[in-house]
Amino acid sequence: MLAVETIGLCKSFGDVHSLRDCSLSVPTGAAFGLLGPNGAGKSTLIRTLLGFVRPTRGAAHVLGKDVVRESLAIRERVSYLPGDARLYRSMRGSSVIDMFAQMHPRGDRQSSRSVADRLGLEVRRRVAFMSTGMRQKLALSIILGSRAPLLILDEPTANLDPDVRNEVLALVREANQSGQTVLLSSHLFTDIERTCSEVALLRDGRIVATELLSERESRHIVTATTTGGTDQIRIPDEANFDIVRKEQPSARIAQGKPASHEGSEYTENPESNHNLVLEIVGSPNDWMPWLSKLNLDNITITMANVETFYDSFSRPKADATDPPMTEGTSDPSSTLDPSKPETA
Amino acid sequence: MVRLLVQKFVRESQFLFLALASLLVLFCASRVWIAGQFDLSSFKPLLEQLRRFERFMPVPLDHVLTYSGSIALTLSEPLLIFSILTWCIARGSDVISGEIGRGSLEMLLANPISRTKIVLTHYILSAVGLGLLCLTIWTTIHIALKYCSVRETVSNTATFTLPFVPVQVPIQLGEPEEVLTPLASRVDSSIFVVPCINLFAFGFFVLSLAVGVSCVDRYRWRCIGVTLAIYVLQLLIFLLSKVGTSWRGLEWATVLSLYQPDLTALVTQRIEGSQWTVVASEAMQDSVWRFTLGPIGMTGILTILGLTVVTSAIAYLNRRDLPAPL
Repeated sequence: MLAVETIGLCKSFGDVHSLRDCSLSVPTGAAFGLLGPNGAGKSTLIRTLLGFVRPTRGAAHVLGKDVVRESLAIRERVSYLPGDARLYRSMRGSSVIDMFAQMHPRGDRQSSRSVADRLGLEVRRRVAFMSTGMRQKLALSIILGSRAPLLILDEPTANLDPDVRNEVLALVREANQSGQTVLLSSHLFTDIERTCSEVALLRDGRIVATELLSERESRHIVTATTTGGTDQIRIPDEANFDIVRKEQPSARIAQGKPASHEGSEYTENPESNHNLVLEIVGSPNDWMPWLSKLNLDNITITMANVETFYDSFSRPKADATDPPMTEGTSDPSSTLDPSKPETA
Repeated sequence: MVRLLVQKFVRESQFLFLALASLLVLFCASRVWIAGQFDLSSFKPLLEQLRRFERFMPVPLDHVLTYSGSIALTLSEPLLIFSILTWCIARGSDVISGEIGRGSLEMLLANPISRTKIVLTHYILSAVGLGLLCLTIWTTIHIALKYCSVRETVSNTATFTLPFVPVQVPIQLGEPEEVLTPLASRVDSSIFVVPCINLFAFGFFVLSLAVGVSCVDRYRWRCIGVTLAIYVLQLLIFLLSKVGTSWRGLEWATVLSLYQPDLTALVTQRIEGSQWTVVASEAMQDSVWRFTLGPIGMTGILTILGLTVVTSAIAYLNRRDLPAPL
């Protein structure tokens, strides 16, 4: 059975189309990532699944239940962390945990308290006197402590420091390993990479692509400067690899990846501009000899990851707005990213 | 689930309730005490000056000079109305738009709890709180009447009847003396029971209005503003309906015509049992009561109007998209 299934889901708010023909399937037991820039429709999709928002067209089912007619039954089996989780300010953290643990049929007070301990949260403090990060930890304790078969987490690591963020991602992985299906929305590549087995990219309310992350591991991105014509990039007929993306020299692809940053602002480094981007599927042992014969300079080979997945479906820079966060922008922990470029 | 919602409601509203209940106890007790402190007849010349404004008064001016009339006016005092409005609008507006404003609605609705249950639990508990406030008012008046006294001058006279002639002759035996009489012997607190029920119904309507607007609007401040605006508009229509006989028809356009605590107290005093009538009897209409509906009828209409507003609002809420936290 699918944990989540949407068929041609559309949601419009007046002239604003937040979801357009979204079809998605999340298998039971999966850890599924929803990736997309701000305003892509991730939260609207999640809120539709929980019955907070009624779809304009299409259908959606969560754990086999219809999101419009059986919303209560869905919420009995789902533990949901809102993107902006806010709690009752006059209550103490412990009381909030107790209240929500009792309110949800799959809530578990002990488990929530132990999650709070793991996150280093002082639950005796009143919510009003907690920092934004502490409040996020409190909400996470409630949600991750639950025994619901489906966890829906909207930006779970927002406002958290790197240590706690790692702990939260570990808890999400543990929840998934213990059999809970996870649907995680984020615009942090590393969050998705470190927790999910499958990812869907949303843009302008559309699901642009869905991919298993395990498949990504057999992919590499090669950036280089061509010294001859690009028509020389041909694959031998007997090759044991495939080029799934070949981007021609142009300004559009040149800034595929920002090279440096100052504070949280991207700055383009003209020296990092490359003229060619190839995405190759197959073992490097198979395609490296072929690549070395091409007239290419400044070759950089990177293992494909969520970021390259995102980039491969990104719009031209000129009209791209508010992209997801890449490593090293505002999130210090993203420097832990395992995919380091290998220079040929 | 409901138990947790009740606990949440109590936690959120206990301080407001206690503050308002204390204020009402203090105010009603003082009001009854003050009524017993003065010889009301000495205010007659002053009130005569206001005779031309009598049409704006809920009861004839002469009734205001009686102890019962003076105490009945407590239920129309701005401070008391303000307290009731504060409870109803503050609690009513909080149900959905308050939760949206605090950003806690999504966390609440992430649990298997229907929107209807959230609204009804909050609504019923707010109505119970309102009922307790009205009960506080009546109990305070009742206790204050028991413990407050009226200083009255009693003439020290005796009379004797002339033999064979049916004429009584008063004889002054001494100087008139002042005695303290319990106010309860002058005013029966039971005449305020139905006025307090009428006050509850009035508050219930305002509460329903606030709950209704809260189910529709996402901003609590706007919800409070809209509810108050409707109330002020009703008040203006009510005052206009008093300007002259040609404006009398406007009485039908305002629910405030259905709130008549003073007149109910007066008619109860004059015609026993009249306070419990749904439709006014001829005797009532021949007396001071000039409405077709009786006091209970008015209370019933206010209650039905309130329930209609809330039922429509819940139906709308169940179909509406919940906005993301503000």
